[in-house]
Amino acid sequence: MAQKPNQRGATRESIKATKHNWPTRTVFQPAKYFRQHQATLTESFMRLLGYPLASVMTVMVIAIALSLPGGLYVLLKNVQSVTDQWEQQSVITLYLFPGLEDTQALALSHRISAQEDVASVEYISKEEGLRYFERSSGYEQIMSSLPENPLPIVLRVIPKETVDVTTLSSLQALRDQLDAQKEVEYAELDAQWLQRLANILSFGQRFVYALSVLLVVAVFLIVGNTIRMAVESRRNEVLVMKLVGATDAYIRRPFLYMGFWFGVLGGFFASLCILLLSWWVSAPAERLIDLYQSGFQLQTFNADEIVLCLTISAFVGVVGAWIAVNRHIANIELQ
Amino acid sequence: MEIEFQRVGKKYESGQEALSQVSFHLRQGEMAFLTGHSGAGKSTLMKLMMMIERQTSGQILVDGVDLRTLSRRAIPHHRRRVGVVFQNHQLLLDRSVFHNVALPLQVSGADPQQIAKRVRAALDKVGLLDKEKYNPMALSGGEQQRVGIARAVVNKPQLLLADEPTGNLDPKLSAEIMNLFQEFNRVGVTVLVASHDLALVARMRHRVLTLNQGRMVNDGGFG
Repeated sequence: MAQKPNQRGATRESIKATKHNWPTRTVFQPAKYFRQHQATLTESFMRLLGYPLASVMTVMVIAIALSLPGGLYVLLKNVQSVTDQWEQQSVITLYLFPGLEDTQALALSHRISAQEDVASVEYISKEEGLRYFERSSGYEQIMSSLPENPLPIVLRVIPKETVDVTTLSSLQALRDQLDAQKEVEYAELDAQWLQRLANILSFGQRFVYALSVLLVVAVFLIVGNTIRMAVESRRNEVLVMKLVGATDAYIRRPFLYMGFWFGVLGGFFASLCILLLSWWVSAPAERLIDLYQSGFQLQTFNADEIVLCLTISAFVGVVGAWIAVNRHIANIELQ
Repeated sequence: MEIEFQRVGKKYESGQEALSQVSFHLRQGEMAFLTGHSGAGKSTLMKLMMMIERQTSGQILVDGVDLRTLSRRAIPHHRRRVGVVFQNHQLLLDRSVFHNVALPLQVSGADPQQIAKRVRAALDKVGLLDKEKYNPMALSGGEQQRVGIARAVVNKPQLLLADEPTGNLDPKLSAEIMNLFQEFNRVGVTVLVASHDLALVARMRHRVLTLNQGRMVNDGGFG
């Protein structure tokens, strides 16, 4: 009774027609596509506003997680810019023998400045040295109590290479070569502490990178978990949408935008935190800078870095959401 | 839409056999009822048509196309051509009647003006035009079911499936719902209604398919 004989012929006919005429994938229509995306963008934002407390909490957790590596990055940037200046000031100081005549010293100065690896030589006569000392507080009285100027002629040799870990050995060689000159009593390359500093800095850099990676992973997990709960709470809606013919991409979209918003807002507040923090420490930092009479300027998050922060956080938000959504939408099957 | 089942079987991983050797042919524009006790396989049969589940043997042809040849990506597009009505309405309670009915159109990316026009046309057909702004929760059971029907027909499907659409309704409302299906059938939509309300089915005087323990035991008659 299951099948009537007269239907068999029709069946064979229909099997032949293997090509069906309904669409199996969405045809790309730009206007429609952008309209849908724009609608989802606003809708997903409104949805976040619909659960203000939960959304604010998630955004703030992301912001804090991002502001930590961001803040350390700014700190590192400042330390680096200070050491950059020190690098430029790196010099080999030559203390000439006390009995040396000015003409001999000048000749040496010309000889050294002709060297290829030397950028410039600054000549500091005994008198200039004395004036410099007198300017520095505390030395005045000692100087005036001395019967004659005890200072030697000093040449400040500025090498072409700046001091860092990689150039240290060649600068050391230059120092040795200058030290061997007969007019030079003692040559000093103030580099050992720079080497230590460079090591500390590269340690700091790696520390910040590792921490950034960890905290970015944390943001992935936060976004992923939040999106997972959002999918779960909209389980019924996902089911119905599947039922009425929504593609996976369509179902995924609002959650991806949700991740996007979490990321962007988290990044925005993280940037804000860093700017506030920089502003807060700027007053004592400037006093400190004044004390050292350095031309150093306190650095904070600049526009490029804010954009980068927002881009990274938006990216992390979307990718975190993508992973969570793909896992969970597949799990929601019509029963 | 034309549906043809050829010795279709569905065996679950648990070993339970929901359907076995089911064959029937639903012609373009035909209306039929699917009856049987609960657990006889009515819902499974509907799920196979919706590609919610896949058969484990035999073939299902829709307009001559073997559903097994459709990829995962093609499933949403297949579902857009089929309207479904469930016993438990499956309405979303976080949005108005209008937006519930609009869902299939939104999903397929229709433009907003078109959506508004067609949603109102569908609501008009089921007699709920004045309730478009209501939340589904504020409606009676019969009204909710009619919203479900409006949603099923809003994008003019070629096949209308209804799984126990009158399950919770009193006889008068049930008859109204059935009349609605009949009206859609009259304009050329193929309709298949699963129901265990034998008295109601008999009154409708349409073809009746009866399932018993996963087998098609009767095809024809009026129940």
